[in-house]
Amino acid sequence: MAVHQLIPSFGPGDASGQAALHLQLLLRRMGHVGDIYAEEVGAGLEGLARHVFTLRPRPDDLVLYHHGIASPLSGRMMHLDCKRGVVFHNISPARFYRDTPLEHALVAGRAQVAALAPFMDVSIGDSDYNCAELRVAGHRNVHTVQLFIEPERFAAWGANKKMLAGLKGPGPTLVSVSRVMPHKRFEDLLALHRELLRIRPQARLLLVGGYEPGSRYFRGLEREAKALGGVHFLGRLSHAELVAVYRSADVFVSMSEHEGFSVPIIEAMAAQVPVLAYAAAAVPETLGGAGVAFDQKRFAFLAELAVDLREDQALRDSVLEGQARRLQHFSPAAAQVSLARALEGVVAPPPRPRKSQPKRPRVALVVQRYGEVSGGAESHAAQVAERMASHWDLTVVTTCAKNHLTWENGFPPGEDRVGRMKVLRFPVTRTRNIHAFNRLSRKVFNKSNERLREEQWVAEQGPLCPGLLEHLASTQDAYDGYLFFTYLYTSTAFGLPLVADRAMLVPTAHDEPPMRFGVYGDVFNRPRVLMCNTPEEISMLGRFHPEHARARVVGVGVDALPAVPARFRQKHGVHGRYLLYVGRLEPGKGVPELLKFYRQLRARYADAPELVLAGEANMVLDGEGVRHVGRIDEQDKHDALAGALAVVVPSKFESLSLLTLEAFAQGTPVLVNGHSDVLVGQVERSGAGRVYRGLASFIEGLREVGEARDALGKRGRTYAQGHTWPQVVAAYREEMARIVEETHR
Amino acid sequence: MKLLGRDIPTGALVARIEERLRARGLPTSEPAEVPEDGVEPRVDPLTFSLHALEENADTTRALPLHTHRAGAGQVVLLAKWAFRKSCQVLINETLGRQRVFNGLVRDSYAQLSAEVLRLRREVDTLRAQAARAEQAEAARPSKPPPEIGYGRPSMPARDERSGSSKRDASDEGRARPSKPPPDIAYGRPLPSQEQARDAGQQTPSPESGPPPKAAAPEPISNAPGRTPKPATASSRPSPQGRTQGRQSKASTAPGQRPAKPPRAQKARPAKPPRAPREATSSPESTTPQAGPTAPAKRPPTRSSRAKRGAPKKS
Repeated sequence: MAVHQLIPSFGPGDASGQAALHLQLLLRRMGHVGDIYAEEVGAGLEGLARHVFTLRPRPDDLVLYHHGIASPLSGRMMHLDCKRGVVFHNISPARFYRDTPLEHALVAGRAQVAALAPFMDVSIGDSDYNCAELRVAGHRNVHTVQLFIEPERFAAWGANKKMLAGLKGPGPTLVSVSRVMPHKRFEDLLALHRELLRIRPQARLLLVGGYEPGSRYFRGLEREAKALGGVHFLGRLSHAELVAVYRSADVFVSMSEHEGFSVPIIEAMAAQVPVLAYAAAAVPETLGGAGVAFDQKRFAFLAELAVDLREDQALRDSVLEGQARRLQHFSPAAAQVSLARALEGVVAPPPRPRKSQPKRPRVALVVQRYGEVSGGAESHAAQVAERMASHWDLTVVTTCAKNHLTWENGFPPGEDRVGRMKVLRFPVTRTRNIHAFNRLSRKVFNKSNERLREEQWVAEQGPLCPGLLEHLASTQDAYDGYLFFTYLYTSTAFGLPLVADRAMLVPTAHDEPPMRFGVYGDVFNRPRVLMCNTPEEISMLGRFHPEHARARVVGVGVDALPAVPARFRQKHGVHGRYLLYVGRLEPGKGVPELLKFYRQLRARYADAPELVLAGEANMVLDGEGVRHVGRIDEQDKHDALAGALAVVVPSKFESLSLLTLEAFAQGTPVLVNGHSDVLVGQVERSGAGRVYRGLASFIEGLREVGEARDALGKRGRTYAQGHTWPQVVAAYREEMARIVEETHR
Repeated sequence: MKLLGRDIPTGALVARIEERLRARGLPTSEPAEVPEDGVEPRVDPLTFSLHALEENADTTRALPLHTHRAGAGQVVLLAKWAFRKSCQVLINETLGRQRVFNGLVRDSYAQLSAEVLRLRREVDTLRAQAARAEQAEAARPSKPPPEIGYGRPSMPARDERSGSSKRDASDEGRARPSKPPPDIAYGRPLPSQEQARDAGQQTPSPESGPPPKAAAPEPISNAPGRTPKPATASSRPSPQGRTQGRQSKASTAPGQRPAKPPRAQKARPAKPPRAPREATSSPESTTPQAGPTAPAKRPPTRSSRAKRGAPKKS
């Protein structure tokens, strides 16, 4: 059964959208699959949320509806033929919005809360305060599931540097974060600022949050702020900018007269800013004794208190320590405990495998593509699958996609057989526009993002395949263990958390921007073991995900087929010496840089070898001496490797270069991109190649490789003999046996 | 002035700051009434929707002018105002039929919601009678606790706080005639234990007086910081009172079918009127009343008209 979520609007900067994403994360950890459905989906977020009209729950599915202000979804909710639940985020009291268009929507929202009550199987509030309102409205089976925060997203390194520099100043600097709305009492913030200016004339007040420039309320505030000075309405900010503001502030202040939870309070705690908040509604509950709450708005007093919180180091440290302790209550683990309690008796726990230990472990190998496809990780998965098939009862669970750029369905859905393997294919529901995806990548790489943006990127990365996820969630009793390949794609990022306690992951990770995404935390931290390819991969994982699961170097075995170089030369009309690259021919693999260096080499040296490129091309390949031979079979590849002057590996991003190992096995040296730690490590450990970091070292490396080809090749052959399949198979069997034993214990 | 915080020396901190304020010649803390904060009161959905329909049925009435934009927003406001001033006649003409339709929706809703209220009261009464009958029976051996079923739970579901357990879905198939079914809450707030006990003892029969009201309109809290009380059956206005209140606005007598607003077209020959079965069957059934915005004069009732595209009646 699935747990879907229904939300009126899903977009960036929306607290209930964030809550939905967080709940989805927790539900996945609990083994439940489910989608987010919204009436309005923000631009570019179609991969994360689907339109409400496509919601077709089955009778035993649970739909959780996020309720705030009045929405027609509440009526739809009552008529859904499935289990129903509401997540209540509270509604601002209408008394603050008399005679405004908002008043009706606020009261209507409350009426809808009451109307929903008899139709709900479970009712969830963010706070005890919200739960009390649910009970007053007539709800039964009411539970508190607190929102959670990922404190690492508010770390100092994530702050926007430019904004941080711009906000430097003498202070004290007070910050408040919320939409400019009457019940947030911005006039009280200005009154506090006025008092603060009397004792600290250089005080500043930073106000973050959207506002309506035309509203009478905002115009009044703006006038007053101008008269005071030192007040900055910063509007809505990106996540990195928000972190910069928090990190520039001395004290976080809230004067709000109504909060159902107050996310900014816990954000401030995560950003290590002392909180000073008016104890209204759920604020004392959220603070939980941390920070400083006050019950009267005596601004002169509060100004003195703000100064103390900034300047009295002992007081400040004590408050910050208390806030850090309080944050543990808002950890994902704590929220998951609350959610599990709330869903007890409403949602059946995922099925578990039978108690008796199987003769052969039933294993699902999950990979984004399988079959006749190019790609290092995919061929790695295929090689492992073929070798493990005799030891495990293996099912390959994959998508129908053939093309990794568009994810278009190229294979028919359903059960298939590839060799001895049973393969289950599920259709991809969304193709990828690679240009839009690249634009998004530029926006989110190398900066701190909120979870929404990272999840958006992962969803756009694809392949989106709900059937595969549903299969994983619903057949948990059919498998004893899972073997996931490649951390990067949704099949792993969204699938692995569903079955993490029985999962092995072959991350095939390398140093690339998405590795830093917190959204991959579950992928690296929660499986039972990480089967890495190189020691460099493990040390890199430790840098970006220090809490990663146990990891061991397993790698792959190398088979050197008997090769006849002349056969390749004759077949493809290659006569002279040649450099060889085999793999995907696309910018991500560093091919443009290789072509650029090769053209300059060709321009300088008349006897430069030819450059032979083999593989599927996703870019233009031209130039004198460049020969593209298309996709070649295994025998051709080994023939080509054996006859090459050197094999060049231009990619910056490699977790293990199979090509390098295969070249070594054929006694051919390599020339590799020195920006990849993994490749450098392979060359250093083998002593069978050279490294280049620019044109000069490319030419010099080529010269050295050419001169000492035989000696280097011999070293390569010796190194390759240390990478054999029996060792690899033994490692996989050992780890799976451990999982099976612990599962059936 | 009170400071709350586990990690601060509250007393010493307040004293220190008060001292500084005194030194600056500013007034120090005096005991003040701090409003007790409570949760917002429940808004009854049926009543709210009825009032909202009444308020918004007349589409020719303008919404309050509002803008969230600066600068150009004022121009837009002015344009809207001018449009309303100059084109009200056109607006009336254009939206005339919509206003009639909305009136019908409002009146239908009023009928249906009144019927829901009546049925709720009736079910409450029957439940109370069943409960009394059970009390009168001899003590019965205790039953084993129900199994947890992961099918759709029947009401009432288990409450985290009260700890009361849900009825198992599988129980529905078993014959247990002597055990009264659980209360139906209809989304009403849970009564306190005392209130629940009182209700169990004092639930009137239909003959003995007005039954407790199932869901009644409640005032929406206006006072900031007011501590609201959960609405209870006894705190709600009686149905009679509410009906009287609505009668004062009505232009028709109870039991009559509501008059309809004027039609733009010539009236078609009316069908013979249906017997007003629903309207007269119950004393509580509130006759649909025209809201304050309803037109004063109404033409005779039209019971139906040919659908668009259907064959014309000869």
